[in-house]
Amino acid sequence: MATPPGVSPADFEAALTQFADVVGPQWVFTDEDTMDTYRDAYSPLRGEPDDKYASAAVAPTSVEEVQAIVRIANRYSIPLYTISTGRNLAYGGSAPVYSGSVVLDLKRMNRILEVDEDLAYALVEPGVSYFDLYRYLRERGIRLWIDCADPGWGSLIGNALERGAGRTALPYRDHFGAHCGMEVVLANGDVVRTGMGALPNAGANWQAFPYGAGPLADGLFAQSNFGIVTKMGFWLMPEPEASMTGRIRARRHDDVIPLVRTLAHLQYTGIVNCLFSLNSPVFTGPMDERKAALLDRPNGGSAAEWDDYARSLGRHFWETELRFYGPLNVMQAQWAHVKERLSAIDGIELEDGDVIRFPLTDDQIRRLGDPGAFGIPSLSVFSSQQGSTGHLDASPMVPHSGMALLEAHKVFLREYRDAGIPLTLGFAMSYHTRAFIMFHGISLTLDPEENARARALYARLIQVAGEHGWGIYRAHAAFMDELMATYSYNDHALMRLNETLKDALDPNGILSAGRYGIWPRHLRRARA
Amino acid sequence: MRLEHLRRARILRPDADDLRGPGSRPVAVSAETSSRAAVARLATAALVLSLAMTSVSVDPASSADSAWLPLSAERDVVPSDPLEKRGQEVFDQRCAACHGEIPRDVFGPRFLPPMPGTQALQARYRGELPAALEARTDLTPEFIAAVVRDGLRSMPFFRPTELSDDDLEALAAYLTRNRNGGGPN
Repeated sequence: MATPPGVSPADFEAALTQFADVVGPQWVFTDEDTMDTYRDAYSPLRGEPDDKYASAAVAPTSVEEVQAIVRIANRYSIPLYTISTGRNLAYGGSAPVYSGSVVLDLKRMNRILEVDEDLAYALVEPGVSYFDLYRYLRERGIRLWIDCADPGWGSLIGNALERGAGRTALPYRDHFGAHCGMEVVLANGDVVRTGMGALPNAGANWQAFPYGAGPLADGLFAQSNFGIVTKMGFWLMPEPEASMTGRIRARRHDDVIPLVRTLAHLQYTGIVNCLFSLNSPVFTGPMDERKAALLDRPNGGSAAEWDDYARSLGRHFWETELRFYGPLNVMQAQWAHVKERLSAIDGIELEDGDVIRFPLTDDQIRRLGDPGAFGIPSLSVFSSQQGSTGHLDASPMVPHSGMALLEAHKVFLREYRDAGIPLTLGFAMSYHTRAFIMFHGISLTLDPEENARARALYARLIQVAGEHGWGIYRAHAAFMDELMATYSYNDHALMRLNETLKDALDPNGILSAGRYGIWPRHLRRARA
Repeated sequence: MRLEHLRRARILRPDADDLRGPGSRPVAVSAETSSRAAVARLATAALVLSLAMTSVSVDPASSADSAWLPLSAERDVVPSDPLEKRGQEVFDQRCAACHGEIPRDVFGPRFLPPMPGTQALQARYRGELPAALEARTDLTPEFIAAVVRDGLRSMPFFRPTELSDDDLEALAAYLTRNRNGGGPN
């Protein structure tokens, strides 16, 4: 049995015995086989000495048990690492950032505590998955939609705390943005409720008004290690009457500038509230000699040069699809307005898409080709993994600007070209209100040398994205220090603030050491 | 220390030797390539089973409320054996979202193909073996345990808080129910 670094075997044994008194011995895991299931299934360090591992795991079922566990951990200085459903694949899975930590596995805290159909919210625990909440609503005939991350087994709370996103309408698809109210166990075992939840009799107002009074604490508990979130409220979308799509294709390199400006302004005025994913078949297509050479031209190639290249491939430069949600006549008016506004772009193709009416029947749901577009969880996203043994996701944020998108495509393509690794995905998705996530996926294999090349590219992408101000919003656990080092304004003032908070809230450093570069004082290294 | 990590890597990926990257010839993975750890686990499970008869877990990590499916599964045929029946439930709750039947007539817009597990096995075996796990007659409990706990290629592994050892034992009983003498059903 591994022992956490810096903890004596006697202290560890005493802590494990006390954990078992709290949760029952069957929910404390230490055997090597089980601990292997707390590794990162998509680890970029698979089979290598630095691969992250846990020394033990403990799985409570209640807030009181979590409180008791952190008190024991404080007594013996045991490093804990919290997971919700442990399915944060491509970002570290269920493995701790600090090897040897004890994983606090909250999967068994899977209660859906409240759903209010009129106020359209749900209050859930960390072990509740998208599948769980979807089934709960469907089985009770509650006409509210969830917005799910693509892998439906993920935790609503875990994904929101990672600032993940889904694919229905705004504001729901920005999962942290659509939460309202948290309950948090602090490192000293205290329980805090944020926003209106601090009122002893808040009732439904906890999930109705996010701010309460005074500083808004919620942000401190996302992508951090200042507390353990044990409840979160989420706003849900009332089921729309229907959904319809419109498809857009633009021919030229520079068309993206008016296209993004127009779609963004339509989003900011509420006419477009759906996800649009801008893909360039020219940029994301396979690398060839001409494309590789174009990237070395001044400014990564002129519009005319790229247009000539696109013509040689017989491809249009940009494509996207808008999926509206709402009453049919309203959506038809929205799409008509979008078409009118975009028709100013010469040669633009605007095509009416399909109409889907709700509610869907069970038979339709079982046969859906894109469940996530309707807030229905699935695991279909793993079809994109054929032939790989995992992947790293890089996710730089690029503002809603066609110019920025053009530059970002060329900058990132150059990095992939130089690394000799094909770009997969690479399209810009409007998950958030005013910026695109420009997703890249880097495949992993069982070959340590190939994985070393993948890691080198990933580290380089973090660096390059940061230098251009397109900082990556969420990193794999093995790269959190590198990521946070790019957020360095005023000599790392943000990290100094984080460390001040860490020292005040968690002086023994028991909670999720190293998460997003925040280390307890005794593990902190000098910054370069 | 180094050896320890190599051993662990071996456990994590039972097929570490047969996947040589893109273009390599698919090689059927048999129980022989599964890890010793998984075999030991099943031996323990078998011992527990022999003592406890066919009792079903009282605190299953896999349950109807926590199923990884948007809708409850519809079953025309339910095994009469209680352990196999429980195994069918575990399959529905934990496996069917990836390893279920590929719908023939897709409804609405398409994103990525449904049933990634079935798709992957179809691509791998090209009809030599059934792509649907429930139709297989060659699976062994040891192999099933190794894949669930160690993962295989892009399929991640699963923790006991998601799928308990009791669940795993029932699942293995269900997926091996036709092993002796039965053909694909």
